Amino acid sequence: MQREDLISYLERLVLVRFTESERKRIMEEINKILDFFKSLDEIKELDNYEPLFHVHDIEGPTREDEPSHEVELQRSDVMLNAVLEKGYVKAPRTIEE
Amino acid sequence: MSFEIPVKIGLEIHVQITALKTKLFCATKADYRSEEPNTLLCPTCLGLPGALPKVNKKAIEYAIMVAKALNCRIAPKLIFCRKHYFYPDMVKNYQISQYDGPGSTPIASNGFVRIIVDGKPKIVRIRRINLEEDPGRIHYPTGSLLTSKYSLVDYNRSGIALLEIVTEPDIESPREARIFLEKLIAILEYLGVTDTRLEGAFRVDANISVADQARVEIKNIGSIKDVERALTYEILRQKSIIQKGGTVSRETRHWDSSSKVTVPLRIKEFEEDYRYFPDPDLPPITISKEWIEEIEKRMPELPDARIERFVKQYGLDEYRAQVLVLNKWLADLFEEAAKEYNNYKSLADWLITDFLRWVKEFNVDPSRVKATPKHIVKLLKLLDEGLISVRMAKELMPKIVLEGVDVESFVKQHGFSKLSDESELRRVVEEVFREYPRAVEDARRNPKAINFLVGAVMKKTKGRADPQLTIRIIRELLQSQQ
Repeated sequence: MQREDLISYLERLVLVRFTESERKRIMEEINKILDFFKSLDEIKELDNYEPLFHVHDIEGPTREDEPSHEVELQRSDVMLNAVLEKGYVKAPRTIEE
Repeated sequence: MSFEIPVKIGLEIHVQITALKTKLFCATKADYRSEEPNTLLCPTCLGLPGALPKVNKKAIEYAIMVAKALNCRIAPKLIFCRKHYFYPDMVKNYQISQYDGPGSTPIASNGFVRIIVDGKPKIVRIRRINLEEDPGRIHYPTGSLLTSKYSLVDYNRSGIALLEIVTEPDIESPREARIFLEKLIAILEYLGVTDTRLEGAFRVDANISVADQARVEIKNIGSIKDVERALTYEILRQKSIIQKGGTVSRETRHWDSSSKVTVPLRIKEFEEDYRYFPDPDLPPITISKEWIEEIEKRMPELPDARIERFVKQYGLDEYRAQVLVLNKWLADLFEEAAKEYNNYKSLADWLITDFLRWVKEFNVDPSRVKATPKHIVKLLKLLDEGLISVRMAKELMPKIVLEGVDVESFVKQHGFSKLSDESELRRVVEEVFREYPRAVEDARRNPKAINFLVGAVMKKTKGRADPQLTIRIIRELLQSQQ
């Protein structure tokens, strides 16, 4: 992919639109990032390495299947920013005409 | 129904783990069905900044059970990824899910389910199983996505533990899809993972391609019946495009269950649009062999094993064994009754024909069927002893199913027993002979005409006459009067 096309592609993926000057600035930044990541190509025999999923090498914690009362205390606050109709959150239509 | 043009169907089944008390990543109560909208929420299931998800251990164990039951390979590590998309059902704009791609793996893959289609065994391969969170539930003010000007969202459902089970495109007709889903649901029911009768606990997306044209995805199908309907509709739609010389375009369509059609959706996302990456809030969890073995020990007998056992232990053929086993409650009832009644084939026949028919006819919830195994055993014993006729047994069946009527006392009270007293029956036959002299003449000339007389005796005795005895007496009288 050409690097100019890459910018339009990223615009679509993240659902934003850049102005010309923004495009120029981001182009420079993206180039730096991509060049930096190119150093990964120098690593040989990648199969010998475990993929890294998490920066800390820790085991994910789990919890027992028991409801918590702390959760109930927070309930009244969590909907403060929503537009409600009969208790439901109002949201846009999801289909085109 | 047969489709001459090749049809390839793959299914994506979403099953809520309804056996859980809390959501997948937070300790919020999971049983949302009788609750007011947007009352079972916390910062984690709403994805508020700073909230941290923590995995429900039981959810992992249920996922492993399902994976084992579907003969899957289980991943050594449980890795959660973020799947990004913009849609009102998800507040944080990503769903915590799993990714089947470079560097990541779902909890289980490469499984299969055995089904029987028209008496022939068939394998439907399972591509993968994901453990993920359910998004919120969208409610359309008019009841339909097509006519609603906006949508209303209930986030109580967001964060409920969900299994996404994906098949390979091995299914070749809408009917085969139904047979597969019935088997899958039975397996899930035996495992006690989910109660698929609960609204929304079981949802299907179907991928279908006709005549090797583009794959169309149908979303939002809520029942097995609707899967069959939506697929049949889609096959007809795609066929008519092809027959007119057009090409089917790759798209996502929505099944509108009120108008029973599929309509195109705005979602046109490709995999990269989802920007999958490992969720930094959720470090991988090791799934050790020991853990899997310990879970396997707790697993109940599954449908395939039970079918095999029914064939061996009760001498049933595979068809009967399967009908019983795939209706777990019926198979349980059969086994209880079989402790006290050893004509297993007859027992199976009565259960899968008359009994099951009435349960379906009255649309009785299996958990509310009044009949106990004892009722059935009593009925069959009375039948074997010749105290009631087959016809009477058939008439009594709905009373047993609906009211749990005790057959023995009912028969005593209502004089519902079979008329097998010879002298009494002889009197009835003589009466019939007097009433239908021409039929008697006919029967003398033509042995087949005897059926009319038998019918008349049955009518007079309200079906209580013993048929064998009636025929014998009629024959004797016909000869003696010649």
